[in-house]
Amino acid sequence: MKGLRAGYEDEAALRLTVASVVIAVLAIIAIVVYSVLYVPPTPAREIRIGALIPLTGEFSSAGVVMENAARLAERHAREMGYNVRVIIYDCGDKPEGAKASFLALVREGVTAIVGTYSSPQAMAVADLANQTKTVFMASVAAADLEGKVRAGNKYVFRNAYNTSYWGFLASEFLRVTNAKSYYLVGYEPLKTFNEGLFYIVKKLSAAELKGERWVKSPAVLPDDYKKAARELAKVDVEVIILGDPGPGSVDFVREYRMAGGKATIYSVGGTLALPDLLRELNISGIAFQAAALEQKVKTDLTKKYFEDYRKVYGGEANNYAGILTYDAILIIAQAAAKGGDLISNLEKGTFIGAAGFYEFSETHQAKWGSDKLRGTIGIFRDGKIEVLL
Amino acid sequence: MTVTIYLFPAFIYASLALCVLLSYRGAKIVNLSLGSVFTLGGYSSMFSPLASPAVGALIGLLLHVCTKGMDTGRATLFSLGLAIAIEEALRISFRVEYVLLRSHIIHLFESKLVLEHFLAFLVSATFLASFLFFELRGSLGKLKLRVVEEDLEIAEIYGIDTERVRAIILVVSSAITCCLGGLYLSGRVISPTIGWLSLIFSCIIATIAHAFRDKAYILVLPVSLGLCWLTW
Repeated sequence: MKGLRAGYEDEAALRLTVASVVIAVLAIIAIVVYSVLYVPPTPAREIRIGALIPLTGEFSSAGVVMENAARLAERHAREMGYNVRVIIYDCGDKPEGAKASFLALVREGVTAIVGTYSSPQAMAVADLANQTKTVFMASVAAADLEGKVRAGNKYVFRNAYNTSYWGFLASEFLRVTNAKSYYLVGYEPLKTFNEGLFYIVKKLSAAELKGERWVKSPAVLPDDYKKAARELAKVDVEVIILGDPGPGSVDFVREYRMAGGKATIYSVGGTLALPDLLRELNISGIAFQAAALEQKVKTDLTKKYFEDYRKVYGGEANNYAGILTYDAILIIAQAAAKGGDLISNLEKGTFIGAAGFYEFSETHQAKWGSDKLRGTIGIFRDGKIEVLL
Repeated sequence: MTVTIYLFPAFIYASLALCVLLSYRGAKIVNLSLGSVFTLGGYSSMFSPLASPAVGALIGLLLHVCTKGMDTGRATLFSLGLAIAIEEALRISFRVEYVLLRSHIIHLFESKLVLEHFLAFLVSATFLASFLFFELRGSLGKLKLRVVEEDLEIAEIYGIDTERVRAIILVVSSAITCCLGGLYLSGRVISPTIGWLSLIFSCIIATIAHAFRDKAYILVLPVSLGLCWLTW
């Protein structure tokens, strides 16, 4: 009996030992398998986006709002879950400055570059984009970038309007207001852009063209706008289409009204599309185009852009150069986050922005005028802004 | 009306050209800081209309002290550096999309005018008239200025305090330029580079007037009127 019990105890001890060993081996195998197969969650890849912004030079006032908008886009993109870092470089007001900054951004290893202000800068940078194989999204300039894409430069995109759409909006304004006549006032430093715009207006509008006047650069003739305004005040016309988006447009409007001019002035935007400035000027009858206005919500981001801009920077948000720089950064963030080929993602995708939903045409131009993406026209009358279109 | 519209700029550019000429001939410096001083006048006028001439005078004094003893080339380069420094300081201080200077509209000769522009015209007219009087009167002061313009060493031999003459020229020209900037930029959207445009036009007037040698100061206004009339 005693021997039987001893055998039983030995066998039980043996079983316990074997079970322990098996469990230990299984545990080790499990740990090894787990450690081999387990991939620890890594933070999302950082998307570095370069921004070429005119912090100095002739367009530096627009540069202030573009910089603010770019910073806001970075913040909002992060809130949306994209690990975005925006790197801002000064592109000045000359193509040479833009090219140097573009190359510096390429050396920083950015995924894509947005911005520039003037058309010559955008054209110069577009060629570099092709050479360095870096995607460039033009967020303000209206130059013929589509021609570059047709010629084989697939690295260039534009989320801003092209010249045709500027012209389309101006002719829409003439149609909506039933204007019988109009006068075109161009700005010589922006002649390429203005000529394209005027060509489309002449082609699309049924109203009578009363004349065309070109204002010289203030560097050549500092007071030419005054002369133009005084001349036009004597002309019987319903609408004046003003091609200068800069501070000169304010001088023109003030001088025109002082000289007794009564026509509605349609501005291509820029300085005369700033709500605060319009209220300070308090001159009725100034119409302007905008990519988006706070009064007309297009996506969830429209209100957020205008509200947060005011909250963070304490002023009214710009509704063209600012908002389109903001949208350009968000578009790149959304496309890059998908992984794979950025160009293909941009070509095929739909991207949300504050001005609407962006899709790109075969020539890499944002489809402005589609149901998802339309420009807006506002008018300042009796101390407040009304949305016309 | 059209006459007043081109008369105003003509007088203002003539005054700026006179400042450029005086600085070059009397203080031996192509004063490139005047463009930024003009802009600074605009920004200063946001705080007080009287601030502009005082700020301008201080900049002129600073330029005099810093360029004392330098030849024309070095002094001109310094004035360019000063201009860029003022521009950058304005850019850093006013990081906003636009600065719109307030203005007042008045009715004169049955037409509307900007009060500040009219005041700028008056300041220019007074400055030009005073200088014309100084030039035509044939005073000792005029003689001193001529000697300083011709040769600094000879002027010192004659006992003229050339440093004092130089200081007066730089302080007065900067103060007048800044004052005109404060008035003439009223009602406009200004940026840190806006003064360059007026300086370029004034330099053209000064260059043409300078070709007439002794008559340069007297001919500044007619040249300015002629150029404004031609471009109008």
